[in-house]
Amino acid sequence: MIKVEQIFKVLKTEIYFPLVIGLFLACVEPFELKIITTENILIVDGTIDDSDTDQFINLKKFVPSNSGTIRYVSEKGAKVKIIENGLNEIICSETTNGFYFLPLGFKTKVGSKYKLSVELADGNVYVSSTETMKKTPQITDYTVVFNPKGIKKGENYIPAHIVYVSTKDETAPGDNYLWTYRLYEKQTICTTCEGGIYLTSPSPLGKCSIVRSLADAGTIYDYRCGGNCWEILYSEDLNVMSDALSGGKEIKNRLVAKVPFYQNSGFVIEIKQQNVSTASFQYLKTLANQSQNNGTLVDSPPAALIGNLRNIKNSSEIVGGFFMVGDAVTKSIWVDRSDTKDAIPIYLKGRAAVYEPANADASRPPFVPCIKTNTRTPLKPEAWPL
Amino acid sequence: MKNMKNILLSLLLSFFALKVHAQKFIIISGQVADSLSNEPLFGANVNLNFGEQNATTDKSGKFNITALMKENILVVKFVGYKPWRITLNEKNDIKLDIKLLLVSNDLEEVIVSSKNQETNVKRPILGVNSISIKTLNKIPSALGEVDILRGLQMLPGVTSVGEAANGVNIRGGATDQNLILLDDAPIFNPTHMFGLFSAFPSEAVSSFDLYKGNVPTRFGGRAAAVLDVSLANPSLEKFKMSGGISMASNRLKMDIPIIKDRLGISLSGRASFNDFLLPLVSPKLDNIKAKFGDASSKIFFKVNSKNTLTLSSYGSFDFFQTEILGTINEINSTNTQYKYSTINNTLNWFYAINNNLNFQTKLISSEYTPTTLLPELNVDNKVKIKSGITYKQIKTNLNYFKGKHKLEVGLDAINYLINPGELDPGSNQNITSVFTQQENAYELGAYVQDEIEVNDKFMITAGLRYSHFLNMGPGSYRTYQAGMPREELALLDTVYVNKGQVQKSYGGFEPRLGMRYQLNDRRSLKFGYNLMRQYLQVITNTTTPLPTSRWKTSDLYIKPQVSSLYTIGYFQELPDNIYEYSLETYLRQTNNIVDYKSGADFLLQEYPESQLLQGKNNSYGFEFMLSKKKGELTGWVNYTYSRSLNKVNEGPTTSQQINQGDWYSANYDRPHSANATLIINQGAHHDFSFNFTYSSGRPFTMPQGYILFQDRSYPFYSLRNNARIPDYHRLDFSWNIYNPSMDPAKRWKGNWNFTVYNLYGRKNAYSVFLKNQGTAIKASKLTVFGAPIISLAYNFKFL
Repeated sequence: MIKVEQIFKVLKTEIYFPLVIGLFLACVEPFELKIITTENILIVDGTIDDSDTDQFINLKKFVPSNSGTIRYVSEKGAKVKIIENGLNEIICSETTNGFYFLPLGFKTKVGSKYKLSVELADGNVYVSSTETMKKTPQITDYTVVFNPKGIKKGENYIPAHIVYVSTKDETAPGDNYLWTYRLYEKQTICTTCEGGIYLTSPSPLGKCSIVRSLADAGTIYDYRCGGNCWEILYSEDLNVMSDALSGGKEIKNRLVAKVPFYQNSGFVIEIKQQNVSTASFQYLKTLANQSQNNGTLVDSPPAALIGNLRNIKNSSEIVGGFFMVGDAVTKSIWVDRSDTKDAIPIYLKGRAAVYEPANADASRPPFVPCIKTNTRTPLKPEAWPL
Repeated sequence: MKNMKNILLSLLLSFFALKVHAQKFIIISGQVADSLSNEPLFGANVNLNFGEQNATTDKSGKFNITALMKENILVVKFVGYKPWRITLNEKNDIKLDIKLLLVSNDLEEVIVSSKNQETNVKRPILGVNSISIKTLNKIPSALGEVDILRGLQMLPGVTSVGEAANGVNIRGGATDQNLILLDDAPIFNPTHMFGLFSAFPSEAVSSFDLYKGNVPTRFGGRAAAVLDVSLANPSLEKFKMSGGISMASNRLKMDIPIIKDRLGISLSGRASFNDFLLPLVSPKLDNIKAKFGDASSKIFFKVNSKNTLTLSSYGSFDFFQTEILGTINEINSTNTQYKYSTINNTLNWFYAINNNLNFQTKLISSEYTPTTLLPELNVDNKVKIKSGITYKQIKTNLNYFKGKHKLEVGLDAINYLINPGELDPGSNQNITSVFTQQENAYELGAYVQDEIEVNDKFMITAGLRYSHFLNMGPGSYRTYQAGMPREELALLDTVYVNKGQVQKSYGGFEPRLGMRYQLNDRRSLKFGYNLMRQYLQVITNTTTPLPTSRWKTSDLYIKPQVSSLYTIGYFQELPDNIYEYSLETYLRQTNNIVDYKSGADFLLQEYPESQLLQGKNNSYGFEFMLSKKKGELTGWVNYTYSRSLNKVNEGPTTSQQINQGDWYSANYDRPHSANATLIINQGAHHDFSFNFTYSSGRPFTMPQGYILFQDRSYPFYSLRNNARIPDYHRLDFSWNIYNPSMDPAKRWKGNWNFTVYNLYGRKNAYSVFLKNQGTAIKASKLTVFGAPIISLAYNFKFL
């Protein structure tokens, strides 16, 4: 009689282990896909709110190509206006690149209704559905948890702080929340020269000057910021949720950000919460499902995404983008990163800094000014400790 | 110089002579003859140790070989006969009396014909396929798990969307258009572990038939095909046990006679609870949990010579957690887990009134309960989304055989109770409990069928079924403005229906016709026509349904699917009945197929009609199949050309159309597919087999442009299924070793199965998709089994 126990033992110790892996071999890898685009698509991209920032509508046209490149052209010379409560017309003024700015200081008001009207230079008129500005509740609480395997990247993990927020849903149904964030990381490197050195002139930005010996050796030098400087990073994922299942109660522990462990010093994350319309929510949810939540075994095959603008003469014309209105509430959170234990930071640049070595010339290496841009600021963010 | 050569040669020869002298020779002689006629076979090839020596038999069928005294393997071959093998460990001369068996006299390895042993050429209906369980055990399977659904995909006209498909697509039908029965009880989810294994307890199954052409009138309720799986009856004579262990599961089956020749029970179980090992294998697997199991029992009681009672029960269980299945957006959880179970029972009373007349009554119940579990952060609570189907059926039929008639009449009634979804927040006070309206419906059927042998050549199977469907209260439904999309904006009213009242009813005849004309003994032509009505469907917006996908009965808005299938086939057996081939071509037209609107959401959806559109499907195809049924090499090759196209156009607005109301490929439309299964039978102790499968890539949706949202690019899709993923192909290999102890007297018989799935490690795409990564948009492919998967299974029988 064959000894079953022996067989089991052999199977478990010698064969079982390598075989079990096979079961979960599902893997995702890059795929060469030649995308031949065919549609000319007018894109109306604009979200207006009650924040202090500039408000604008972006008008572009997607131009198809056989090469797979993504190219947009600006729609110039259009007449763009916002109609408030069916009465007030707010005219937007054109700047460069198809951006149409609302008057300085314009803010949407809770309870008001807004509609966008666009008349292109070719005479086609597009109007949006009416969007009502709903009140957004405050962020009531937050939780930040450090996870050494917080972000999955390919087959590996990056340590990260996971940020969750809680809020009290408005009693009436039909609220839909959108979360975005800005991440402020202390930046010590204000410029990097590849194969050269940094010169402070021309002022104020200075420039990298090529040095042949450094270029040949492939040397890279980083240069410190002259004074405080913060890098601003933006949320990349669409994060929306309806209150269909929360029905006026607390929305607890919504995951809003995964902040990579860039460096040992702390960070500030400014979370923005907006209450958007049901149509906006449906649009964003579909957009998210077909661009970031896909790649599972059970994807919904992507489908035509229809925004809230129509050509008044040709309702079958495809218009991309969405005109959205949302009351914005923000919460800035300071995280000191003292809980990271033995984790190794991944650095903002993806590598440790390599500064130009000091030498007898006391003027070298020079500091680089921190110039305010969309992605960098010398101004201390809210909630940053003294 | 020449002398030198001679000396060397002599030395060499004497060396060999010495060596040879140290070993002993034996003479193997024998006579080769035909097993039936005993005629000596002249010219048969006798091969020693794979080519070490060769001999040919003389006119009297005799041969003589001088061999070293060691283990000798002798193979005798002759054209038209099955090869004969022996392993000899003789110390003395031996004389063998060898009888070769003509291949054409061999017992047929029943490969692809139905369980009633009729050949394809003679069977009165067409489009019936099966694979014997014996064959299924031999052919390669993923991870050593004998799998009916994967086996079926080696047959023409049966495909799936890929490796993790939760069901198969038959002749252009959706997975939910197949009626899958296990001892007459329906299986709503035919797979374990999200499509990796089929849910049938392979150890306990005795046979199965796939009806993809003519469907007998006793079956109803689905539009495409019927897979009828039977559990084996228990042995009434002696205790038997069989089982096995593979890398995926452990199996055991027992036959226990209780009263000899009258009462017996068989029990079988299969379980896999090995996921705790995963993190030990690789830390990357620590977030995966997977357990599954199934069990069946069958009690057979011979009450007297005319009456028998059978009770079959089946249960299955799955628990699954992995990142590759996505999440539920509206609930904040750390993970998504799936748990689902089936419990089926069938009680069958068979009464043989006389030799020509019998009567059967069956009581059937099925309970399918899928649950999604959402564990919450920092608290010991799981939010649950539960749903379920409770199915009850009574059916009775009368069979009458007389002369040239085989008549069957019957009645059946089904009650469906469906819980479409309910949210149980557990201890979470912040999530509202949600209940959706229960569905209560009846499906009633009456049928008659007669198989008439008109003459020696012509046979007709004619049947008529009438089905009637009632969607019952209590409940409510919405009314919408006529001609408008069924959306909030067009909402008119909500109408309440009381308990016992009918909300909506449908019904109609389902004619079925099969004709066979025997051109001669070996050739036949067949024609089939089928009409089938389907009142219960899966509504889903995913490529393959999730185990938790919702089943929905027809109602005021969701009309029953009605499918007409026309089939023509030509069948031919070659002389000696070793080879057989068939050509079948079909056209299937289905009305009221269900597809989803862009951005549809079915989770806890009270009004699914607002998310769905109905249209039609046209499927057509051509199937060629060649099988070799006997001999050392058995198997089959087939090729299918098929298309499955949908058209959905409910009205003039974009939200009432899919792809602007034009024809588009169904998700499982794969025009070309070819399969080959070869089994090399190497005597009683081992065999090898290969599976090769090829199919065109399935459709996917490619963007036709890009759009911006908050200055970030996103792909823009407008036409569904406008491109194809790369073609799929795969080769598998399997080696079975039976009873390695070689002792036929032992009651314990063990065998080993070694399988390599995806032998050349092709990374077949399961899906191709575009994903935003930072500011870039990148194309990726998802592969399920992207490397050769080696597995070993041990099976045993105690007889």
